[in-house]
Order: sequence, then structure tokens, then C-alpha cells
Amino acid sequence: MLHSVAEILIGIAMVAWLVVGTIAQFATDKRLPSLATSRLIPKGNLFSPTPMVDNIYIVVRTRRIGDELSLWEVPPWMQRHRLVEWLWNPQGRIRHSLITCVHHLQKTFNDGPVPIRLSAPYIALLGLAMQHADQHRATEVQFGIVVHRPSSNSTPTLIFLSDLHLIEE
Amino acid sequence: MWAFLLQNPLEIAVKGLALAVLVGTLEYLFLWRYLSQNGMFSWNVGQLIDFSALIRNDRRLLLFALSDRIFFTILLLRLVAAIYLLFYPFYSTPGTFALALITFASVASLVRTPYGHEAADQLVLVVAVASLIATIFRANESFYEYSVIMIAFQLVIFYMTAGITKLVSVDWRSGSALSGVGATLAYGWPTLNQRIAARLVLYRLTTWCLMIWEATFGLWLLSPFLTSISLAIGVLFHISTSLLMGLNKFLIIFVGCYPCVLCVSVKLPL
Repeated sequence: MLHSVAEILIGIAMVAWLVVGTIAQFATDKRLPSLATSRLIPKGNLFSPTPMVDNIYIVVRTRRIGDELSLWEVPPWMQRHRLVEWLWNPQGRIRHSLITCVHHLQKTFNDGPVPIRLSAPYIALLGLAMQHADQHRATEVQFGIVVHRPSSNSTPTLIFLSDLHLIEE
Repeated sequence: MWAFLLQNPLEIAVKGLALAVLVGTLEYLFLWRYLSQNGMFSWNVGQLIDFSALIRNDRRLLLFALSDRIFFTILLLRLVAAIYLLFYPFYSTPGTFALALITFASVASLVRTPYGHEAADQLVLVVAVASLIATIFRANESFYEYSVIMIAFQLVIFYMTAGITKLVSVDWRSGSALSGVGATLAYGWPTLNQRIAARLVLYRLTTWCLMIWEATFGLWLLSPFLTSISLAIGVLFHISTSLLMGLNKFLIIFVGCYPCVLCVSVKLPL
């Protein structure tokens, strides 16, 4: 009896998860409860309907006390992937994160109402830029996002520029 | 070999899960500086996301449970659990604990970090939950079958969604999406792409084959023979995406679940 009750309840839970998962495939982000919850529901729209066809570069410049701003640097977060990555690919997670982060930043910028400087993607990218600045012992840092579409040989375009941020000890 | 695949679908899926979790956890530990303090995947960033749907009142437990030190420990335990499942059977009490740990750690990882998750991470959670249910209720063999069915249908949903969403896209239908992805640094194969970029027909043909295979994935299940062909295509597809695009865990966990699909196809009452 206990088995049959457990069987029914778990069966219902499994079917519910599949149904929610099926509905979630075609739901927009706004229909899902929140970004945190939606990550627990599998989504299968792999590279579709709009695939990522741009190269996204995060550019960073820094300043030390008494110095001028440095030239823009392109830290190696978005490198060309290598053959060994078919098995070992930590860099892939960085690349994928940068892409989703930049898309989330664009969405935050367009949709509001969260102030862009307090949004998760802005803070995430700032954290990344600050880690880079730490290596240069800089006291201030600024980052930008440059997009380039290699398939159309377009000119790289700066699509976002952050404020200049003071790095506290 | 077919008999082995058909008799042990969940065991094979769990081995795939263990390998994918092992590789994924080692990658996470390798990237620890991005996961801690103010790094890109840190909890300082993660907690900026709205958790109201997950937890309504007191967030202190969540904030503590996903703090740097605790999460690092969770990752280490997940590594140990993955190694255990890789070498020992999951259908046991230690196996149950290992799967429970992987399930908890996968949820923690998906919730803690807003960016960088792949389809493989989500399928890891599906396989972990399904196998956990099977092993908790191992006295009743029906749960084993339910878990196999759940994994198989989740795969069907994944592939069919991917196929249908590609079919409605003009960029995919024209073949330009695949050539566009191929030109990128993140997922592309720029050198090879430059050589064949002019041959849009080749890309269009490849894309249409891919879209039709993905969108009809559920239909292939109607016959075990057709399912075998479909899964062989799938293996080729995943090996090529792994080699060309670096989608390593995508290969391991998806192909690991194929015996579940085959098993469902054989047992379908048609």
C-alpha cells in the first residue's frame, strides 16, 4: 500500500516536471517565475532560434595612482577554442558565461527597471575586470564590451562602456 | 552488447552522469578564483538575482549554504561522489547518498551561479534525480522503469525543442546560422569555416539534416531499428560538436542517456 502511494506521488511529480519542462521550452523568460528558478527547469533550445554569431570581447583599462589611464587591453577570456577542449574545457564555461552575461546586460538595459550599475551582469563583469586590474596593481578600472560579427566582416563595435570604478583595498 | 545496453540503461546513464560531473566539478575547481569573493560566478553576484520564487521569508540559510567555504566543500564532496559512482554500482545505500549529494550540489550550483550553465548541467540534474528515485525505492522495480522513461522523455523534449526552434528560424533554415556560429571564436571552427564559407549549400544541407533529425527525434522511437539509426546519428552529432565546439559534457551526459531511449523504444507497446 505504502509503495503504491509513493509510486503514485512520485509518478505525478515526474510527470509534472516533464510537463513544466515541456511548457518552459516555449515560454519566454517573463513567464517563468524567476531567473533562479528557471535554471532548475531544463531548456533545450540549443543555439536556437537565434544563435550566437558574434565574437564578444570584454576590454579593460586601468589606472594606477598618479598615472594616466592605460590603453585598452583584451584579456584572454574569449580565446579561440582548442582541440583538447573536447574533453577538458574550463575556458568554455568562461566564454559561455560572458556571452550570457552580455545578453543579460543588454536585456537589463532595455527592460529596466533595475539600475544598470546594480544589476547582476554589470557586477559580474566588473568583478572580472577588477580581478584583471588586481594583477596590474591598479586603483581604478573601466570595462567595455566590443562586438564583432566575423561572418560579415563587420567592424568591431563598442556597445557598452562602464563607469570608471575605484578599487578599494 | 545490445542486451547489455537494454538490461542496464540506468547504470550506463549514471556512469555518464558520474563522468560528466567529475569533469564539470574539476573545471569548476580549476576556475575557483572566478567562483569566490568578487569573481564572475561568485555568490556576491549570484545573490543579486531574484530568489523570491524559491524562498520567501528568511534568506539567511540560503546565504550561508551557498557561501564560498560551504560551496567549496560541496564541490569537493560532489567530486568524491562522482568518483564513487564511476567505479561502484549506484543501486546501493552508498550509491543513494552519492546521488543525493550530486543532486543537492547540482541544484546549489545552478542556483548559486547565474551564468555559464549549459544543457549538460540541466540534464545532469534530471539524471541525478531520476536515478536517486530509482535507488531510494529499489525494493520496487517499477521505479527503475519510471526513471528510465523520465530520462528518455527528457531527451526527446530536449532534441525536439532544439529542432522545432531551429525550424522556425529563418537564419537556421538558410544555413547562415551554422556558418555564423562556425565563424565565432567561442564555439566556431574559424580555420575550417574560412575554407567552406563560400559553400553555403553545404551548411544548408547539414543544417536541414540536423533540424529534421532533432525535430523528429520522438518519432524515431516508434521502431527500435529506427531508434538505433537515430542514436547512431546522435553519437556522430555529439562527437562533432565536442570536437568542433568544445561541448565536452554535452557529449558525455547525452550519449550516456541513449540506452534509456533505446530501452523505451523496445518496450513501447506498439
